[in-house]
Parts: sequence; C-alpha cells; structure tokens
Amino acid sequence: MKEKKSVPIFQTYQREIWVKFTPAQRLKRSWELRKRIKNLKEIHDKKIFPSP
Amino acid sequence: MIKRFFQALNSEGVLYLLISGQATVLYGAATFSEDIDIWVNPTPQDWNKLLKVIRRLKGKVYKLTPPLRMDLIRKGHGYHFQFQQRGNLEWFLDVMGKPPRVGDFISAFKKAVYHRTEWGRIPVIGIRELVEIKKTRRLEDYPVISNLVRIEYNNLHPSVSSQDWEWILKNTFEIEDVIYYLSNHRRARAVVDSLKRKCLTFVNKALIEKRKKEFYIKEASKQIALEIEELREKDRVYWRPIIEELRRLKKRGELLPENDTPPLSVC
Repeated sequence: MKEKKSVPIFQTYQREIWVKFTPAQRLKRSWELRKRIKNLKEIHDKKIFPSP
Repeated sequence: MIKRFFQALNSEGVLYLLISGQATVLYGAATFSEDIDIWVNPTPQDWNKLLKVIRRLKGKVYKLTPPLRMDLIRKGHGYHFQFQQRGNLEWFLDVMGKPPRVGDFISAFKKAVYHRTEWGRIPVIGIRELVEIKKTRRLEDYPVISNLVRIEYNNLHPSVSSQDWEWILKNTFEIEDVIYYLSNHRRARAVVDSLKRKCLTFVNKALIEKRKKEFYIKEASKQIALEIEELREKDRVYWRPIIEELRRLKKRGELLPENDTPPLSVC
C-alpha cells in the first residue's frame, strides 16, 4: 500500500484559505486572534530580546 | 488606536514602511504577529515627526531602548514602544532606521506596495526585501520565507523570467516547493547550475534518477537544514556588535527609562 504523506493542517490552511483573503481581511482576522492570546508581552519579549 | 497611529504617521508625512510580521500577514505568508514593526527613514526630520506621533498617542518607552541619537539609529538599533488600548490591551511598536540585510530606505520605499486596510493605506516593504529581513536566527521564520516566495511566484506566474527563477530558487527553504518548481518549470531547471546551491542539484538528480530519488531528496533536505543554520549564524553575527553596544549603553545608564514618554526630538 502506498504511504499517504501527511501535511500539517496549518500549512494547508495558510496555502489554501488564508492567501485567498484580501490583505485587509487578513489583518482584521489576525488582530482578532491576537485578542485571544494571554501572554503577548512574553511572546514579544522573547522575540525582541532573545536570551544569549 | 492603531488606526489613529497610522493616520497620524501619514498626516505628519513620516516616510516609513511596514516591515516584518505585519507585512508577512498582509502578504498572506503568516497568520499572526504580536507586534508592529516599522522602518522609518533615518533622517532627524522623519524621526522627530515619529516622536511627535508617539507622544501624541501617549506611547511609552519599552525595555532596552537606546538613546535617540542619529548615529545609533543609522547603525541599526531597535527602538521599542508600547501603547495602551481600550480594555487594557496593549500593543508594541518596534522602530528601526536600518533593518538588517536590506539597502537604503529610499530604494526600498520606491518599491513599497500599498495596502488598503482598516488602519488606512499602508506602505508595505516589497516581498524581496522582506525575505531578506526575515532571514533571522528564529527557525520559525524560514517557512514564512518560503511562503513569501510562493506568493511572489504566484504573482509572477506564468511570466517568470530567468532572473525571477534565480531569486525564487535561492530563497526557497521547503523541499516540497523546490521539487514543485523544478518538476514543473523547464526555465527553473535551466538556472540550477548557475546558482551552485547544493540542494537544487540534489533535487534535479532526484528528478532524473528516479531509482535513487529518496536518497537525493534526503540529501537535499540536509543541505537546506545546513543553509538555514548558516543564515541563523550570520544573523547572530550581524546583531553581536549592536547588542554589545546596547550592553555598554545600559552599563553607563544611557538607555531611555522604561515607561517614560519619549523625548521631543532626536539628537
């Protein structure tokens, strides 16, 4: 039997659905998602000030 | 609030470009970014107008922000600010005068792509410059780069020139995408030898020698992983002197105090 290759769900979403929104729709949805994230400060700090 | 910020930047006539995370969201290469990064033309006039906007919207200095000196701005230091929104939500603004791996501001500004959004009409850095900025130490940026490349490919298709193929094939870090490009485009295969990128040579061999396909694809994947590691190291090397300078400034107590209102002007 031929092995079926798995594709990460997120990648499929990004390739198939996300790119079809307009830039304005993407920005709006992205900031809606942002509201649900509790530790934004931590995520931001980790990105901007990585530990040596 | 963010809309007001961009409206104020536009009405003050600040020369800026949206870069990094939010730019990748607008292009469709990422779904989320936690902050807003902008590249402001490194002139005292533009930075003074930016400071006026930040002060008007009650923005505060965030952590590890160096003094607002033109020499530091032009060296590539990052300036961090935070703003309070309704409902106690906050957002972060990171500003640079010289982002890594891209040329001068005016050249990039001429290639800006304008997007209409709920924040207004925003000048966004071009995809190719954005790809260079995203070659960071963060592993998660490399799938985003490949997404940007795929978006550029879709924009160009079916008129992809040899030069475009060179750029596409140099900047793709997803093996599946490399296989797709080389399997479907003769013009892409034609530029492989001139690029001297090992992973491309392996994929080309995999497409010719079907019996050894699995072996060559594995080798190509290994090469991509090595290239990513090299780019991550280059990024660390790029930031080293800037971080060292930031440490010296901190030691001497010269950083802008956190939570303070930024100064009126740069010096």
